[in-house]
Order: sequence, then C-alpha cells, then structure tokens
Amino acid sequence: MAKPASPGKVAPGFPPGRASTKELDTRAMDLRFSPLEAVSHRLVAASAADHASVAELPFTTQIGLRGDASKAAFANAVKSAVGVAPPKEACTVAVKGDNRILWLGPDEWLVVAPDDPDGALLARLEKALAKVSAAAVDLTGNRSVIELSGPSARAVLEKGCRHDLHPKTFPVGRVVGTLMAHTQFFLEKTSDNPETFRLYVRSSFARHMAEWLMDAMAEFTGRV
Amino acid sequence: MLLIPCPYCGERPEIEFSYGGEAHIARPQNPASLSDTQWAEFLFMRGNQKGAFRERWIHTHGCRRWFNMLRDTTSHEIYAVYKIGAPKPPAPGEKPAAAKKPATRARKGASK
Repeated sequence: MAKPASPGKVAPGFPPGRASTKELDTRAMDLRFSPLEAVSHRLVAASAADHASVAELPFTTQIGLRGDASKAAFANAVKSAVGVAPPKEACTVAVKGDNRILWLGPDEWLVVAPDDPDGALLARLEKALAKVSAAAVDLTGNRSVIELSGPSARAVLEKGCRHDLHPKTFPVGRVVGTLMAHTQFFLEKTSDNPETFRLYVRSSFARHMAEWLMDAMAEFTGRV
Repeated sequence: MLLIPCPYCGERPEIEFSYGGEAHIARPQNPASLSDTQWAEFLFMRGNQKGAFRERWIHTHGCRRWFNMLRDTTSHEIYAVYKIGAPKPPAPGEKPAAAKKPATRARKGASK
C-alpha cells in the first residue's frame, strides 16, 4: 500500500477529500464553462453595435413548470416564489425584475432567472408548490440563451425564421417555439429599441445556431 | 407550405407540425377478444378519403399539443381545427351535430 503523502507536498485540495465542500463548490464554479464560451471571442468579433450584435447569456437558471394556470393556488404559489404569476395568454412572457416566465404550452412554462448555483429559486418554488398539483423541474443547462440585438437583428432572423417578426405581430413580451436552421428554439422579443431577441437553443445546438447567426449577420456588419 | 392554425398558438408554418394520421379511431375496449381480422382492421385500415378528412396533428416545435384538423385532402383547404375531446365541427355539406332543433322548427313552420 502506498503511504499517504504528507499534507505539505500535496497539491492544495487534492485528493478531493481534503477540500471542504465549500472549497470544491468554489472550484467547480471556476471550472464550469458555457456552451458558447469557446467561441465567445468570435461572437464579439462578429458583432457591430450599430447593425447587429450577438452574445451568449451564460448560466441562466431555467426551471420547467407544469400546472393549471386557472387555479389561483398554483398562480399564487408561483408568484410568491418567482415574483410573477405564469402568463395565461398563449405565447407571452411575464417579467418581474430579472425573473421571467415564458409560456411554452397551455399548462407548461419555463422560468428563466439569473445564475443561481445554490438552487435557491427552485427550492423556493418547490416549497411554494408543495401542496399544489404542479411540477417544477430544474432544466438549467438544457438551453443556451443567445441574445441578438441591433437595428438589423430582425433582418438576420428573417433569413431563416418563418414567423412574421414585424413589431405589430411580434411585440416585446412575445415568445414562440419554432424552427430555424433546422433547430428548434424559443424566440423571445425582449426590447424594441434596439430590437433585441433572445434565442433559447438546446445546448448541443447552440454552437450550430451561433455559427448560423454569425454567417447571417456578416452582410449587415461587414465582419466575416 | 400550409399555414396551420394551432388551437393554442394561432397560425404557424407547417414545418412546426407533425402529422398523426386519421383522427377519431377508438382503440378497442378489449383488444384480447378481437379476431386477427378485427385487430388488423383497427390497426391498419384507414378511410383514405378524398375531400374533407379528420386527422390528428401535433405542434411538435411549438406548444407540443395534439389537436384535430378537418382538411380537404385534394385542395389542402383547412376547414376547422379543434382540440382533442372537443365536439367535431361539421365538414362542408355535412349536417352540424347541433342542427336537430332548427330542423324541427323548420318542419313545424312547414306544417303551419
């Protein structure tokens, strides 16, 4: 049997048993990377603020929510945890501060919130929904969020998206599940000035979608 | 390319949907009691109508819900969409399901 190495010679925190859980958590946070981190420099290079810009919004918290929106108990429980009730109207988004709830289906929503590695929001939601017939599932990391903005953002999307994205039919606060570049994603409009869209793409398709967007943007930004 | 009016999301391009075959085919209550012929009838035989046809669709890339559609198989005209379990809207030339009362009234009017 190998002798245990003296603590002084061991790399700090190795083997993992020597590090406290908190230290390990901190290290894990340093080590994690988002799906588009490897191409983040190219996203910056492809962007031109006065035409079209693309960026990843990494590490958003995402929670899948199922329930009956017509039941006040469900709506109130969600509101108490997230700050806003799930929208009843199809294809709309409810926003409160940095938290948003996207309508995905008549009894299905996606809660999107800032980075929350401790799962505090999910814990709050699960506690609030404990006595309600509903489900809240952590889907963080399922979808990458790509933000596309600028005066030409709509023109870029219109190259591949079959929706009518004119502000009259696609105003701020609208979300649709659709296809672009053979990829399913949710498209949300978050701002009118400049026009800003968020694309919720499954993480394994994020790189493909980013490449597609950069290619589609080139004619507007002049950057290849 | 069809523009399909999803009963939940509104008009969406056809590529967002998947086809689910003929609608309103009830699964036998007791499959074990069926003969092979009857089972084959349930499993494989479909109307294959020319004209108005009731079929199932799912909004795969949108809200992921199943619904029924009444579509003309020759012209692709969509006469109606309705949710699963909802009453069937009448096909063109078909008597509406709730038309019994007006018909009685018409007869009464005729006898007067």
